[in-house]
Amino acid sequence: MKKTSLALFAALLLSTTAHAQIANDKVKIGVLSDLSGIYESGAGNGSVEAVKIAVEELGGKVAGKPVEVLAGDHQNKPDVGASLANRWYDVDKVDMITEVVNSAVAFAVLDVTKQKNKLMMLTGAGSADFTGKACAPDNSVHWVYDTYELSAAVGKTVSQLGKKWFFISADYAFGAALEGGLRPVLQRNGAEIMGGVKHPLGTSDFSSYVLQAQQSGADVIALNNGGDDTVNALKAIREFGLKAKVMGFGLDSPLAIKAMGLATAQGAYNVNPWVNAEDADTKAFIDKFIQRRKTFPGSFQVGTYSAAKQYLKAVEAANSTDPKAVLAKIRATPVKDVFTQDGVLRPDGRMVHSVALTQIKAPSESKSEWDLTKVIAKLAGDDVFRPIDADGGCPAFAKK
Amino acid sequence: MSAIDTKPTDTKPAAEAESFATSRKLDYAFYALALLVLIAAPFFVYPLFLAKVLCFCLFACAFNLLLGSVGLLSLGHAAFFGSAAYIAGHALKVWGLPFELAALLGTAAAAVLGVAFGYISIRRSGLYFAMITLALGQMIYFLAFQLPFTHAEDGLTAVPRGKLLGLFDLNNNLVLYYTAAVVFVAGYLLIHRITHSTFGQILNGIRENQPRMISLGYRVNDYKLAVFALSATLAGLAGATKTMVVQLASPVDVHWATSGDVILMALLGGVGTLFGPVVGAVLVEMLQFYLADSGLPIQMVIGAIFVLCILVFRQGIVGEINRILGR
Repeated sequence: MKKTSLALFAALLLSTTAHAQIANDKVKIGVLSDLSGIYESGAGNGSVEAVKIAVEELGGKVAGKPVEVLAGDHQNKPDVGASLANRWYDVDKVDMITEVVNSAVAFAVLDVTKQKNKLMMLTGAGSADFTGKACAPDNSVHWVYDTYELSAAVGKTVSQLGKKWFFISADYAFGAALEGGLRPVLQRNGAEIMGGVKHPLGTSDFSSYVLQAQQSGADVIALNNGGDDTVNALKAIREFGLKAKVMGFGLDSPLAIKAMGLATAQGAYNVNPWVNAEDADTKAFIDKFIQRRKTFPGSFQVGTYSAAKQYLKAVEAANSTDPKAVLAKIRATPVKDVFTQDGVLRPDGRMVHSVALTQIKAPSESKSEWDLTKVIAKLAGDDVFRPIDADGGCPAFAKK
Repeated sequence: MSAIDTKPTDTKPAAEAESFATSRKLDYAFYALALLVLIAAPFFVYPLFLAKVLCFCLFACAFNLLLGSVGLLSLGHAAFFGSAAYIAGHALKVWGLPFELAALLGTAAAAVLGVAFGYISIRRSGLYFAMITLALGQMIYFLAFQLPFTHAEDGLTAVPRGKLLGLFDLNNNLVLYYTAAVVFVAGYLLIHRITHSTFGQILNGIRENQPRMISLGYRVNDYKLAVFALSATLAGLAGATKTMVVQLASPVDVHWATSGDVILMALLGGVGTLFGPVVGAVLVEMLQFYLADSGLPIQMVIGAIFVLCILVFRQGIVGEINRILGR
């Protein structure tokens, strides 16, 4: 009798502590993204679906508690994002917000997250300040890529692609930022910058820019633009039959490559934060994704899937949704999944992982509808992500 | 004079006096009800969201002060709203000023900008006026990208709210809401007063027949400039308060799309009415907020509602209600 009552008491105690740790007997993930604007195709509803897949694969439950996924459209407005995050945390009791493509919105949501002591897993936003001056090691992780990594990774390709570079940059903030980031990195890696041109946003005729690139005698042309500008520039380069290699930041979208056609796009390079290991797990995920979204997943979407899955596993292990406890669990084990084979979550919130130098396949190499790119080289995470104690890094971890 | 209808009536004097009295009673009853809703709302709806909505209500009313009274359609009102938002944000965050001073600074900046923009733009009317305000507004937008204190596309974030009068912590949602409510009511009353003053009647006269007002000896441009500046100032007050409420100022605040949103709010609610923009602002903000996690394509839904309203309610929602009530 005594024993059973003791056991009962112990069970009661256990259940109450568990109750206190996973609030409301539910784990809620909010996917905050651009669901109706320019970033939708690379992030948006695909990211929401990716999180749902992650939840389903874990049986819809962690630590015996059901998992719920909310999707929100921030409409690329920081104040809409911040108000929605406030409501999600206060009213809907969301435990973790993920994705948040668009850095301006992400900064706003990060402030809310810090105030409410919740967790944010950034997979869509790119500013390197999330693990720099705006870092929040106890409340945020930066999972997929950042602007520092992008240029550093391109810099590492100098030995493979060539020493003479030429820039074709979009004449607005984004293009200027890409070029500004690239110049010092290339020079540090021993490259010579032969020149550059700026084109207005939405140019359709790139012939004069491409001819200048040809005359410069460059080995590599870097396209510091995005969307249709990248497509049109690449088309012009092919039409003029330039021998130079092409490195394009805007060549990260499978949809865009498919639309352009491999005949035009073949041979162009891109740095992809997602290293496609082409193993069984990856193939299974891609199949599921294509079945539901009718398109190949982009790196943000795969990253969001990875972040959500690691989060849920950590909640299970910690039996808690407390940000610190969850982060401790994620840090404790290296990340090895569909997104990366060698990920490590650093104390400052940066998930460091290898990135891939990819090349678009020739039509003859492509075996199926979505077989578009191949990995040329893997660049080690420590070489491309900003070191934790470097200038511009998180102040809490600066060199003393 | 009815608060909701600013159009002159042409009934006989006695009947006019009578209808005037009943309409006035109806007005008081309406405003008493509205005030009750305003006070009780935060206990039913998320207060932080409501506080933000109130800022946009004031912004829409300020915009409508220009469009409704003198008939000038400005496409650059986000410039006043946004620059006040940035300056108030900078004052709160970097200079560490309390909210009252920051709001004052932001509003003053918007007023100065309003006088400058007004001086340039009111010389033209119609489409030309709209285009000039659009161009000036976009200049501010690009400035917001280039100036060092605005942090380009990342915007000013983590703006501290501080304490009201050094006593009440604005981080408390209810304190925050009632502060925004007081700012809104004060702004609304001021607009109400302006519209119903002699000054407001002269503005209506200018809207209806500018050459006649000139022939009567009014300096039309001075009146236009004055109301433009007032409208800009109140838009600035709304922007400064918004920064405190949502704790950020971003390029979206100065972008022409925000100017477009405010036109949408005024048109939906009813341009010729005082209360219409409030209804429009609540509607648009609620759509943006509650549809955000509904899975519907928000911009398309708002667009469809806009088209529907234009087709069905020519005078906006409040304008149409007024017509049905026979006022």
